[in-house]
Amino acid sequence: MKVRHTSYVLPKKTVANEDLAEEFSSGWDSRKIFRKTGIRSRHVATTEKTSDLAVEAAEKLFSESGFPKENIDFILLCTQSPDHFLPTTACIVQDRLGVPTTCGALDFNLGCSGFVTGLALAKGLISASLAKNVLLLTVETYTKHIHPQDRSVRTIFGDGAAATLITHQDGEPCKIDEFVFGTDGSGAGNLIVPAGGMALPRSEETAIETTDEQGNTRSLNSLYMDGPAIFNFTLDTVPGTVKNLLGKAGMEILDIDLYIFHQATKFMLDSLREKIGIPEDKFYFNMEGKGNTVSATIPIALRDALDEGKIQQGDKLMLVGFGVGYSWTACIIEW
Amino acid sequence: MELAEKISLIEKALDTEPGTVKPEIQLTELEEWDSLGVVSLIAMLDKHFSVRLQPDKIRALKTVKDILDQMIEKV
Repeated sequence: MKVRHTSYVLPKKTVANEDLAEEFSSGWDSRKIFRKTGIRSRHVATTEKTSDLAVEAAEKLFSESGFPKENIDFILLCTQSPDHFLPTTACIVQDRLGVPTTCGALDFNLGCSGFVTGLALAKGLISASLAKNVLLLTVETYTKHIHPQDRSVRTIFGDGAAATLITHQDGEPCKIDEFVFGTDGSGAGNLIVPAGGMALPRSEETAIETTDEQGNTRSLNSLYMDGPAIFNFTLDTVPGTVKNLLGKAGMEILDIDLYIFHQATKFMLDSLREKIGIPEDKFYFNMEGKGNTVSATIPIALRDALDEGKIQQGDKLMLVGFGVGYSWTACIIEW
Repeated sequence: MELAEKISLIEKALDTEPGTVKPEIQLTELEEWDSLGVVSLIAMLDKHFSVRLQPDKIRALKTVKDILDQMIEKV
């Protein structure tokens, strides 16, 4: 069993720091934002739906890898911006891709921990002989949740979709190794779209806009992120998670060839890397032209690292996702 | 750690011009006192002083002196 291929696509429209600087005249310094976030521009879905991006990423994967789509027997689709409440986006994608109707398909609702959790689900399905070839789609159009006048989140998030193929052939060793999971719902309110679900349906009241001390405007219909609380959460949980996973695998920090963390912001990743003590050359970072694409960042980074020649066959990679929920998952895979 | 050194750490965290941070300054007067600035401050206090600034403490910060009061070196 192994991660066989990963491909990604980004929506056409881009928003550069300079574009945001023009919109938010006061207190905005595009160079400073780049220094802290590591982001110069992000891609933003306009007419593209989550299913559109998912289909595009999957078609790219089939075309690049030459893997026949007829052999897919399970689709796992991770998103927090589905096309509809129902039906399941994965079902729409199955039909549009022309994957056999004999396949299983489901959506699961996770954010930044979604890709690594998806690998765990794929491993479970394959280990139990319920599937052989799993298509894992991690797709977000998060920017549609964002209020146009909320600079705090517009700066960070971008849209994107990644398609990853996990396959197993008889007699093949398992290259998807140990996992560590974590969940703490006490942080639910710190990264949230409060209205729009059944707990608080959208209404005139939920559309009322408020402006915070830093001049960011949003309503209950839009994404809210308490950046400092999220930052504290990552400092509290991620270093221990990495340590636990290394312990479980009987490895030391330097035994891992490349660490690929959820690409949250440059500043957060630098802080975590330093705190854990990971050497810079073993720590992948690249979100300059993409921003934080939530559950798509890890496979996007994985693909970029492969294209840059930073991953060789047999390398041990640690993948760590953490965020909304709170939810975090880490694993070690062999390439 | 000398006061000047602590001030310099705050300036670096907030990414302000040297000389702009003084103990009596109200944080809301600083353009850099936004969520990215707060996050940088949390990281600086964690790294240099092993102090973890929780949300209630963050809300209570009004002046630069309030930050300086958190910058206590552990023996």
